[in-house]
Amino acid sequence: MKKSEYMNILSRRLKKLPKDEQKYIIEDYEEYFNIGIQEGRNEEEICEFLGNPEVVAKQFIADYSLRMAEQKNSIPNILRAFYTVAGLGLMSFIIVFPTLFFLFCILLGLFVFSLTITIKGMILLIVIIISFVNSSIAINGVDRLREIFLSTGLVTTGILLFLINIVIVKFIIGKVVRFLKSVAEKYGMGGNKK
Amino acid sequence: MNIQFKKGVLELCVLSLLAERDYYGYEIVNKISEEIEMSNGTIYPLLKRLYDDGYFETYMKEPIDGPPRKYYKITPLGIEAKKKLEKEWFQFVERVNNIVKNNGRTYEKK
Repeated sequence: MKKSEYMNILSRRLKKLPKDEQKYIIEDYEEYFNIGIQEGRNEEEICEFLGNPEVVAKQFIADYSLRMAEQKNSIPNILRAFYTVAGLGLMSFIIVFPTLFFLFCILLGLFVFSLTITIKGMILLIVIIISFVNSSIAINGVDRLREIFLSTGLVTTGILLFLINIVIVKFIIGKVVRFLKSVAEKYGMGGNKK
Repeated sequence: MNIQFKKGVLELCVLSLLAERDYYGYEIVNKISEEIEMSNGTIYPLLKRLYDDGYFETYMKEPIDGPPRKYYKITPLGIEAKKKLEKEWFQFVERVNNIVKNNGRTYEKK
């Protein structure tokens, strides 16, 4: 491979990154080639040394998306980090992926459940309030008290579950980002030098 | 070699070189890869990570002949990180030495 081909592939693969990131990386590689050639090394040898440009680009993109996910724990950021790190082609994902999917389903279930009982409790409360105002709907005293307890209980449990869910999600996201980071870094340290 | 360990060592190498003086990319990449074995194409991503962590800054400088070069300059944060890694490294070496030396000298024990 020649320098021009190498740089072409690299810059094309880096297109997903912001302009300043691209510029930083391209500058480094451009400089390495220029000085290397000036010192009389041949282009093929330099390409070999710098490593497959497609793999190199993947590494930069994975690192970038990880940094973004670390800075802002938003769902799209996490997913992107996950996707790009998985793109490095690592075995560990075969185990991690189903586990995360399973966790995600449970958390989604919990989320829906907490939302449902909160809404249910609220509807019940509204019904009770209406029945207070509109005394034509007859509910006797004991029943009314029971209904009030039930509805407030539902609402508070629902909100509590919802909050617990958020805490769990935050905790898991933190762990996932840390895991992805270690995987991406390990990938670069493999030491299988040709 | 243990991967997590190697990562720390590489960081320490880069930071130690930069603590001494400013380097341009070509120099530092070659110096590191001469001494320590890495997969092809991982040294620049490593440098970029350290840069993004705020361990060094870059600036352009023109040599007497040829195009301008990007120099890496260590930051106070980088120096701090270097000191920490250095301390850990020496502690580690000392512990290993204790074991290795003692083992070699078991016959001398009173």
